[in-house]
Amino acid sequence: MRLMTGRGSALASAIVGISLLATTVAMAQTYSEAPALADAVKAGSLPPVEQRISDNPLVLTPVESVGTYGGTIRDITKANLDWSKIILQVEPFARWERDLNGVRPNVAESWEWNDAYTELTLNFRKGIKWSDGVPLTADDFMFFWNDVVLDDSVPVSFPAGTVINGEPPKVEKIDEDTIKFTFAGPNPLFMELSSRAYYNSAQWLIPSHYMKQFLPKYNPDMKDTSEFDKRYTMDTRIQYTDMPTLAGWMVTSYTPGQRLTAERNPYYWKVDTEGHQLPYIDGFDTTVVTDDAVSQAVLLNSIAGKLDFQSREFNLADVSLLMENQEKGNYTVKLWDRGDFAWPWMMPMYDYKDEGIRDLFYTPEFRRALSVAMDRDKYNNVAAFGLAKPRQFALSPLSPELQTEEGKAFYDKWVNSYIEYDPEQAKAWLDQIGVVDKDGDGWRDRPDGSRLQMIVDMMPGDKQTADIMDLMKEDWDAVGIETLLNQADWGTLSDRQKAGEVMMRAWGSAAGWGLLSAPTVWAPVENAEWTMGGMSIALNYQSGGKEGEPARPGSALEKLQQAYSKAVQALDPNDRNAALLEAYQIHLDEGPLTIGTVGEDPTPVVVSNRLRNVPSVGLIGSWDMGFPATADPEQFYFAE
Amino acid sequence: MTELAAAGALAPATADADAGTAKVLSVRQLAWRKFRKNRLAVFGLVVLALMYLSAAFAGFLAPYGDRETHAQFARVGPHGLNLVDADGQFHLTPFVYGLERTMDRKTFKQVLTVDTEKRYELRWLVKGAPYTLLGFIKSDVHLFGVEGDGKLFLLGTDSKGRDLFSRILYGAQVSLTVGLVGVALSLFIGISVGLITGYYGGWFDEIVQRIIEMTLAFPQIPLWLALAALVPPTWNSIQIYFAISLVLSILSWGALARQVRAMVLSLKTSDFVRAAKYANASTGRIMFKHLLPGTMSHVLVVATLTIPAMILGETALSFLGLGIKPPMTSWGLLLNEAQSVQVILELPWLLFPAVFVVLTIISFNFVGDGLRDAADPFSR
Amino acid sequence: MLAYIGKRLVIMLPTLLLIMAVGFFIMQLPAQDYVSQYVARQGQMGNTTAMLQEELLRQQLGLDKPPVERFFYWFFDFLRGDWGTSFVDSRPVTTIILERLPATLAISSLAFLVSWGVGIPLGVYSATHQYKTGDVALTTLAFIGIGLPDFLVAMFFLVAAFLASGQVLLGLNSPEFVNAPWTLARILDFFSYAWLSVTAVAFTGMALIMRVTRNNMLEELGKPYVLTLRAKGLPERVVIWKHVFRNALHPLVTMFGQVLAFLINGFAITSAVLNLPTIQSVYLSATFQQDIFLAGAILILIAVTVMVGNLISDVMLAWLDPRVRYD
Repeated sequence: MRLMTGRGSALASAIVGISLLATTVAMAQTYSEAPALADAVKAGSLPPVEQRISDNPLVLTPVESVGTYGGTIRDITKANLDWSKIILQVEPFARWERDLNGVRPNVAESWEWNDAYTELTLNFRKGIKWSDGVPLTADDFMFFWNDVVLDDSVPVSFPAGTVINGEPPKVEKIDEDTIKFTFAGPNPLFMELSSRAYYNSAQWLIPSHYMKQFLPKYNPDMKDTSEFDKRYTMDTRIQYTDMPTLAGWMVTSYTPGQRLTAERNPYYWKVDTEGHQLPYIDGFDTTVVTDDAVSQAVLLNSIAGKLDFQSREFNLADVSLLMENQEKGNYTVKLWDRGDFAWPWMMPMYDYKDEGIRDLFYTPEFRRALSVAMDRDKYNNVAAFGLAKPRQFALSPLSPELQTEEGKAFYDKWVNSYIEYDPEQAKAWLDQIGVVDKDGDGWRDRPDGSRLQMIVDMMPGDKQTADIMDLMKEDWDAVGIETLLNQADWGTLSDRQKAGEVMMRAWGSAAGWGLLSAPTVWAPVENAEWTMGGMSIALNYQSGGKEGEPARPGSALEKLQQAYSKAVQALDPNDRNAALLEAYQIHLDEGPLTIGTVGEDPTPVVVSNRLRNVPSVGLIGSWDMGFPATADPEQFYFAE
Repeated sequence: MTELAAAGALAPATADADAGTAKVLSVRQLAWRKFRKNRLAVFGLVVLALMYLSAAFAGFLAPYGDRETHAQFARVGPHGLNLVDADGQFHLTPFVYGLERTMDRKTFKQVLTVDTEKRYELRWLVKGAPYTLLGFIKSDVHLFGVEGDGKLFLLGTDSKGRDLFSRILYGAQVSLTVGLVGVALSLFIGISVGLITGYYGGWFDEIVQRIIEMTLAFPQIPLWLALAALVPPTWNSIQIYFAISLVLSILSWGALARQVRAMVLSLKTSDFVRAAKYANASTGRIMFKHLLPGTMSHVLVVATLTIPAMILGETALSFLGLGIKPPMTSWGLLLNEAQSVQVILELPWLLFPAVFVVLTIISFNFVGDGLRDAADPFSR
Repeated sequence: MLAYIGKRLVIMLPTLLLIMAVGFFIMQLPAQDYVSQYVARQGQMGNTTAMLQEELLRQQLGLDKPPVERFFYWFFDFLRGDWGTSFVDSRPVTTIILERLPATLAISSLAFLVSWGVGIPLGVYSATHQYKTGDVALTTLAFIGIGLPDFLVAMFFLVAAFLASGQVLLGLNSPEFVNAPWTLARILDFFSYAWLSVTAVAFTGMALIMRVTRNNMLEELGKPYVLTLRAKGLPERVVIWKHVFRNALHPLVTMFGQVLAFLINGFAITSAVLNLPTIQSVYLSATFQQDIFLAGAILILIAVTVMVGNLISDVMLAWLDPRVRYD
């Protein structure tokens, strides 16, 4: 259900608005609530449900059926609590649709853009309250903007997606429930960007009535902002059980390294299609486990039937054991997608300090040879149990621009380009560009006769990447390219990459598409470690040509940067999709510019047979997409 | 009594059966005789000799190369030789059956079928993956193998489809050698320091003890992490490990020095040492000819127990991501790959390297025991 | 003797200072500090704004100052009892350590008692029945215990216990008993989990003790005084336990000093693998994440326990063996 998100077509807005009102009135809603809450209302300790769920509660359509109240979900998280956060803290302005085809209103009940996409008026849900009953108003956000973001003494900088062309936006309060952003330039994707998981708009929503006491500005007893920071940062916010939240469940206890419990939020502002206040499930009982013990913990507890819903921390290797024991543990294994586009993908760095290597990278035949020299079926069988798909570097097929007819056809070509295992062709191409063995040592050399070595860096701890890299090294060695593999930790790698000392990098991708999830994976535009092409080249674009070094004129990289600019400036979604497809075409024509191996690994999700309304489709790999929160766990329920 | 032996008393004469003259055996020869009589010690020595020889000739003895993968046969259990075929017929030449692999899309289990129609015979001196022996002999002849498409996985394959039996042989090369240098160095420093400080005492002893305390108090893990950060990434795996194990063992001499010192302290005041002093024996002579043998037995036990500690240390390093990295392999790395519930339940053959590790340790200990008994001519 | 002990305690202080300094600087060696790692992790998840705050975060955590200055701040704070805050969950280091101390001591002491309490008698038995079936069996078991990495043994036990009882024995209590008062029910629950960890840890230790005891006993048994004692007609039991055993203890006593350090520094990886809420497991994660105050504080504790342990060893050695004199 999408409320008006298009441009200010006032008539459309009016019609929808009136019909909404009518529906609301016509339904003459009787809402119901969980028995425990009903008791509290009778006892007088809670206001009646109609006064708690906001004036316009969000209606969630159950995946299978309307549910019943009760039950506690048992699950397991690592010490960093990431799993719990991605269930309990994803309440942004808008949430992703369950099929990722756009965003739907969440804390914001509606929003309007002006034609130029520079002004955004955001309407918070009227009457929405924090978990302690205090209303959420525009003042909360203004507090965030004025006293936190704009205040230099608080270490919070301008939120991602708000700064355009180096300029921050203006934020004003229009009325109790409405704020207005005025951006320095067109920012059509702001709603999508701010919906990403728990560290975008979900993080910006803070209860001012609670947080004020931790700022020196309001509380002279505070010497610095450290108490505030701990509660603001999503890393540690979840630990503060006294901090009001907007989520379906509130964390009621946290014992570090041991256990976390959560209970339903009586002021939760979502209902099902029959007016039952959500969530159905009473709470969570989460066991916290060290990183080294988590694999054993999730596997053994699943088999023992002690987990009700778990989608992270499983290894692909465990799938067969999990499948075998479904009956014994009374659960079902659903296979969600990891959502990645390649695990690993090989990123040649076009800004590597050695000009000779750069020359080779800029030569399409060289990259194509490397690509077809790879036996991807073997990688799939060995590293991914045959469950992944051999594929070229191509973005996720779930990207909106690849879901159109044109997009699908294009995607098909893209993902299958240069992935056939053809070492003879590889050798032929290498011969063609002059990469032959000149000194008779068995290894091919550069066209100028000097030694050629491919040095691939990767991070430790990623088994699939490591396994595939070993196999890939064999394949490249077999066509005469001497390959060296090297492991280094993130920090070291990052430094070396910035200095142009990394020739090629391999790592598992997360879901990526279009302009939202790390656009820099398909165009060198953002100075991040996961950028394609090379950090200096990306920095050059990002700084407007002032820093870093430019891509070679006329090269595919330069074209991609231009295509990206065009896509980013497109205001109409259709124009945007067209621009994106144009950009991707460059990859198809001149690529592979970065090389994919296998991807789209499925991820096992253990779901207790008593748990209902869990969708069969979901994405795990990318944090951005906010799963499993995006699957609306508030409408899961236990069938007894 | 060790004191008498240490005092260098003449060994008892033994009568030679042939000549009528009495043959005098030195302490060393006597010790060897004693050792030989100890069956367990000899067993240990033989096993170690076999292991080291196998490691040296790993390439030749292993049916497959050290990088050879059989991707479609990853995670296969032991698939070995048979003498009697499905029809009950006996064959003089052992053979393996054919192997097929398909994936059951419902259970996501890979189904292995043994095809008893196909038989591949065992062959000797087969051509296989090339390898280098002892660093300079290149060859591609393997002692045994099966012909054609046949697969001989005596101990099964691992998650990447590499033959475990071959990998164990290659792993031996690393595991059996890398610790030795470190241990030797450790012993040398430890014993020398222990003897000197125990004998002389005084402020020198005090200082050394404090230094030892500092090195012992040093937490290993940050040290290992720091060392890992300092090692140039251009070094290959084995150089890195040598470097790390060397430094670690240089730090571990402290424990040994303390124990040697303790024994020296108690032996220092004993009669035979005083006797040696009165006989104007030089300090060096006292230390090496008198005190050292007294500590020898304990030192030997510690030495034979340190080598397994080195092998295990390497496993811990691999676990933390600091040790040997693929494609190089060691027993520690092999065991590490086996460290998961899924492996224990579904691929238990991957735990086989543990048997070799334990066997090596048993052998080192038997040899150590034997040496200790032998060095002490008066023990039972 | 007292003067000696006093002297040793005094000397401990400069040693400790040296260890603190060297330890602190070694922890600075990896190029990545906590903030870089944190920013990197956030970046991997897609949270790129963290990168913009990197410098500010560093400032907040005090990591922007030069190492020498930070060391002195830390050193003096430490002496005053302020051990700093953990970067990871922003709690005081002292809280974290104290919170984990009971579990740590419980498992380590139980493991120590079991491994020494069972290992020593078995070692004596092994020595007195050398090469008989019992000895061979025990020796083999001991080798397996020494030969296998302790975390592999822990994994075995975990899986075996799971297959036998369906219980997942990770950690030290069932979820419902977290923070519950120590009722009888909780105590029983604790033991139902703890037996796994204790056995896994003690298995290796016991093997070692057994071997060392056996070797020491055999050495003593070879000495002439044993013959004399037997010739005197003393019962074998008295010979063994009253005389031989006493003398065989000496090398064990020197090992005793290591036990103190073992209490908080042993079985670190096993702790992590079995999810035990011990100081060791948090030490591992603190070190890898460059959580320097937490890691540093535990480092000091380990150092102190090692030094005190050594002192105890030396004193006990002098007490037991009249030949040993400290000049």
